[in-house]
Amino acid sequence: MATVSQNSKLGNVLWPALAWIIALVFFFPIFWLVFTSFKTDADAVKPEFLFFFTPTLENYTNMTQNYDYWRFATNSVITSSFATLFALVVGVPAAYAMAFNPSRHTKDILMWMLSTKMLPAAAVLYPMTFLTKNMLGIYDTHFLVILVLCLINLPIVVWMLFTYFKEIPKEIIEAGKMDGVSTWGEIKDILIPLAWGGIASTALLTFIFCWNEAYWTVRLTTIDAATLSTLIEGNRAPEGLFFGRLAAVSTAAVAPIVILGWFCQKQLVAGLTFGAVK
Amino acid sequence: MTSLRNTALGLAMGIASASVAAADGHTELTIAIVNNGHMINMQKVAEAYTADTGVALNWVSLEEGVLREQVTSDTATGGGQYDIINIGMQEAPIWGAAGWIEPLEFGAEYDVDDMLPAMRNGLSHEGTLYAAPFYGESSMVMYRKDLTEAAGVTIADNDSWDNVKAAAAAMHDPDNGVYGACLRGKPGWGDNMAFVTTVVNSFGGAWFDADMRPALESDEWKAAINFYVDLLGNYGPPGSEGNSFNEILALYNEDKCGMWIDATIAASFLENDNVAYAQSPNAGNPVGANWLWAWAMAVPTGSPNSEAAHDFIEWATSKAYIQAVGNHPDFGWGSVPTGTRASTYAIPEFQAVAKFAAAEMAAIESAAPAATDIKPYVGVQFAAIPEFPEVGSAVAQEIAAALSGAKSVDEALAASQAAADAIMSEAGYY
Amino acid sequence: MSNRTLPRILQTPAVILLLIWMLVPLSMTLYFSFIRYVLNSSIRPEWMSPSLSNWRGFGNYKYVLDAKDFWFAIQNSVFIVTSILVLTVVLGLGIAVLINKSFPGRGIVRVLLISPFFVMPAVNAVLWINMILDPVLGLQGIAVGSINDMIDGLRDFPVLGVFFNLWPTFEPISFRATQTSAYAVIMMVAWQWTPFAVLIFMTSLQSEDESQKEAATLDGASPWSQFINLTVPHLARPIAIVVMIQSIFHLSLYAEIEIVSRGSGNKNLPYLIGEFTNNNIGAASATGIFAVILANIIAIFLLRMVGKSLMD
Repeated sequence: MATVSQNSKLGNVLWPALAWIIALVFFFPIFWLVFTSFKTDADAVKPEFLFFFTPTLENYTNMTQNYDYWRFATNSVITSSFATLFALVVGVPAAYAMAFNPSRHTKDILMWMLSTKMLPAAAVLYPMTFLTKNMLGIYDTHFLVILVLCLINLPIVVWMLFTYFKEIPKEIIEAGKMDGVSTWGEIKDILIPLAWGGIASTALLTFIFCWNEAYWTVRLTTIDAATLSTLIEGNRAPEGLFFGRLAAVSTAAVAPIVILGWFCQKQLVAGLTFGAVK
Repeated sequence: MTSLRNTALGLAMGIASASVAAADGHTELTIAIVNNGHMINMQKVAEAYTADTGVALNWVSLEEGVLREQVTSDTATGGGQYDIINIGMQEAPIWGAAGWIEPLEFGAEYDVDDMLPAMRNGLSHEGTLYAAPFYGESSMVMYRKDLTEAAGVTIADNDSWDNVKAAAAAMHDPDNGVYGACLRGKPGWGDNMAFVTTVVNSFGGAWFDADMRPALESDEWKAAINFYVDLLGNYGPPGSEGNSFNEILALYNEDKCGMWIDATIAASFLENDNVAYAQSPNAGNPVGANWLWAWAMAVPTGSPNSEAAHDFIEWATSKAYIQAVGNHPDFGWGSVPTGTRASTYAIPEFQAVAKFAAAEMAAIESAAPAATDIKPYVGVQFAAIPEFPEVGSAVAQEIAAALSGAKSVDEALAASQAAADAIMSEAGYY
Repeated sequence: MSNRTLPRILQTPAVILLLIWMLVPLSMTLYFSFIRYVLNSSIRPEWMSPSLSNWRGFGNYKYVLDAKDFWFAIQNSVFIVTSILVLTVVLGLGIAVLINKSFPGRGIVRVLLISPFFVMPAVNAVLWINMILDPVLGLQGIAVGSINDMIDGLRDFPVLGVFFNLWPTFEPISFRATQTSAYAVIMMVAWQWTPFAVLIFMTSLQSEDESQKEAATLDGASPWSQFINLTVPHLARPIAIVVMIQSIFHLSLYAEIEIVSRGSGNKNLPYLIGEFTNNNIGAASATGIFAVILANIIAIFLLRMVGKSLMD
């Protein structure tokens, strides 16, 4: 018995310490990115200024002078929010139907939906450019970006919601039916409040995926609907290797989403089960 | 449910149409640029242009490869997204021939004859100018005079490759973080292959033979690539297979390079005062190892603001623009775009600050892009044919593999030849 | 409305939207894959506009199958995806178990750990390959340089110097080289997605039956055998889900490959398509169709694996 308690005493220090070390190692690259963004470009590559240097905001002022950061950021917020909203608006009823009134084909439909996510974007790039620019004339509009972001995330949304809804006892919904509540009422008054955690984490994850999407957002926009991905794309290989400038632009592009993630991490964890919890 | 969806949809549409509405009323030009120093400066200098003419300018800056992809797919599908595009010397004549970009004609004041002949020829197709050069460059040797003196070596204009290698070996001191020669190794037809092709040229080789069949397993290619791999592998910095202009510029400014053979434009970014210049080496034949490139501006055929776009290009590539940069409080004569006009090199203020001017001018003038007996195509470090980027990228990866030792030079060249042959025969050349 | 029609109506928008999204561009790709279609050609200008008169049958497919990197791209794609999956699942399991119990600062540890998941892929690649892995200017280069300097200094020490003279001079590793670029991509993507695995495993661990574990402890089962016999089976489903979701994302890696080595020594089918898209749309489309087929083969396996238990 004595050895066990000794072991666990040691373990009480050792395991948390290990967890802290791993966490710091994982976070280090992000710290380094932010840290570098306060160095001048010249200092950023000099070993003697590795840790000690005179911090400067020069990179950030240059960025806001040379690029319309706020336009890119606003576009990211608009497109990601609306795409998330639309994906939920289309996804909640679909997942509701699949979870509570499954048919023989429900599983196949779900699997097919997920398989559309595996189609390589590069394979349809040229047709998409042609379609949206020449035939529909919606190239470089918020509408197009929102639509595309919504569509590429819809399979994940439906699937996440479906797995979450399935855990809600059918009887509760059935009870609502008995009371003569309409379908819309069922969704609004019974399902959404019950599944709020799952819906919130689905929304968060979708928002993150939308924010970080780069292939389509860069290639289907020029100015009006260009998001932060485009800002990164323009700065990842400028003439000269400017670590400081690059770090500042990168920090500015990822900071909003990382901070959002921090504040909402409890929500995210709570609902991120994908039906894995039985 | 439906009403909620409609509201949200309407909102999104509203945002979309709002941004279109802003374009009404006054002329707005959308300009696609690579993210290079001169283009970034142009955004500020052009504020005066907007103030004078009322033409609003939207800048889209992208990484070179993505820009090319975007501009190509836009132009090939009839365009309309961009009013002005940044293109290089490889694309200009081909796109002009395909009718993708509009011919450019300027007024007498523009003085088109002032344009350096090499630039004008390189950006024309059958005598018609299709893109106006914003800045131009050749390549040359930039080296640390203090290091060559300490090592007791010299680098002469058009020196032999053997001497260059000996100088690199003498300066090479990796223990103290100094590498003899920093050269491009990052795969890309405009990256490592720009430099490698000039080496091959100087050894008397060419991409294609008279029938446009790839000639990558020729003795000249083998000699040139062996030399390149030997020089950079032995006297280059670690990780050379990932270095291109940007990476080497940073290394050079950290005093880690003895010499650097690259674009003449680099000279205007160098911080070390001990820099000296020499014309590119050759291997004992008349073709030197210097390239010819220009970042130019063109108007895609689909542009709805074609006239305003022409006017802007006329301004941005004029003598007046050079003056505007030189006299701009934020920039000055060290930052003017060079390599386009003879008159620039005659400006006393420019001569005073640009020590590299004479070397750059000489390098540009000695570059020979025209087709010769040795090569049936136009272009120095590239071939001005639509298939070249594909061929060039495929070969670039093989050369990078040879440099890092993943393949032998012979294996890499055999694979290059096979890939190039497949692409050219697929394209219908033979 | 009957019990049958309403559910159908509710899922119709999602199904129709995805059907259009899939079918319209895909059918154009399919069409382009059977014709000669290049963006620009000076000697065969008739190939520059898509038209049935340029019909080529399976010619593009044959060309792509013979192309230099086709098989390499498939093989390499499987290699990087598998490596990332193994790394993230193993690391994710370990970390999730480690932070499952409460300890001082657990909340902060959790926040730090999941942060990489929020970073844009392009930023991830640029950050790792330049600022961290660059063999001269990055942290790797600086670290290797200072270790060498330190050893150099110690060589002059009496007695100890003999020991340090035996040490080699370290060479920094170039992660953009043909031989190493795939590892660089595996490393950076695993860094980004391990937090995702941790998140999923963490959620599942919280639902683990603690009474079972206590019983096992009383029976004298070691922590390791508890982990193998109780925790791992409990996590079988979450593991399947992590594998499936990640496969979906990693089969289409693009930015990381481009930024690290421009396809030198490291390629997948989407990247190969991108290379063809420069000019040869016919070949790019045929490669696209191959990629769709490959994705569906993998999808069938993965979805079977997860799908079986899905409807229970």
